[in-house]
Amino acid sequence: MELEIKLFANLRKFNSQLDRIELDDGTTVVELLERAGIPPSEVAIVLVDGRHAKLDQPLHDGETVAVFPPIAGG
Amino acid sequence: MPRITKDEEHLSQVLAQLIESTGEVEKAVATLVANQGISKRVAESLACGLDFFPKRYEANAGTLGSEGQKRLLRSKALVAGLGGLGGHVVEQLVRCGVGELVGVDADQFDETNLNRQLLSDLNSIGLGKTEAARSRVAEINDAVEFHPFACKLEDLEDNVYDGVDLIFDCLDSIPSRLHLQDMGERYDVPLVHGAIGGWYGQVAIVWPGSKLLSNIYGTRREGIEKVLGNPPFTPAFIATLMVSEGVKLLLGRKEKENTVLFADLLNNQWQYVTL
Repeated sequence: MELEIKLFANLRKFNSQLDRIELDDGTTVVELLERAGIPPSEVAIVLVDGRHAKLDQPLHDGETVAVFPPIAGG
Repeated sequence: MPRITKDEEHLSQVLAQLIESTGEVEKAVATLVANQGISKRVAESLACGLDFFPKRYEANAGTLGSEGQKRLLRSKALVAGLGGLGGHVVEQLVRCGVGELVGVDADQFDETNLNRQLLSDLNSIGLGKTEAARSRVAEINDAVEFHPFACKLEDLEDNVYDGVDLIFDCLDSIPSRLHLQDMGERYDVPLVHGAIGGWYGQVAIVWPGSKLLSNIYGTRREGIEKVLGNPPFTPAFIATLMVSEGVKLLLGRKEKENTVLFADLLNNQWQYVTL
């Protein structure tokens, strides 16, 4: 399946990994992160088509996934 | 907003006469303070109510209007954390003329703060952050009443939140931020949340009951700032957004929504996320 994946802030460093992975329909968010080499500890928010998604949500062809890191400094 | 205990209409009439006789708002305000035993911020708010701006607020007038300036002078904000974000937030709130500020921070300044924390300088190393904030507020605007609390947020007495209209979350720890979210919920006060790390930052309004910070952080207890640190421009930028959002809230110009703005200053990308 084809997904549009948008990595935000320092997670953009994983962009180069995304070109190399192929995913089957129904792959979950956490599986996507693992395949892209993104440690779940570096992820705070995942949106699928603009909606807040859980890590075990299955993904489908044509969806857009946006991933944001935790930012907590003051 | 705190109520004025003395007869406001009467005081306004006295002030109007004083402005007419002295021809100067500042003199009239000072006389009203001396003769009527009211605070300077209340006297200034009455002047704004008469559409007379003290000179220090003249440049705010076109943006805030007299009613808006009056509201800010009657407002009370709690600033939790007086470091990178909090220093800039206090500076701007004081210059806006937000009349009462509560500042909370247990720390003292050290040399690692000098790159970004507005209230720190070579003379303030070792000084308490609340003490530095108190001095800065007094230097800028002596009408603003500043209440310092040099303790951990979790150790604040409940009555500190009395009369607080708005809370600024300028903290640097996720557990403390979640505690502040609970306090906002308990006292029905919205939070203006800001957070920074490297080139990146986020701003959101946390409405009581929304649990927005819980939704943002999930089970995370540390952020990217632990690796990326904090350069000087990111706190200044995010603090500015926090204050403009906070002023809009105090002026009643903000809709309820659970939206986070993510700012990427490296790639100039701004992303709104609704949770």
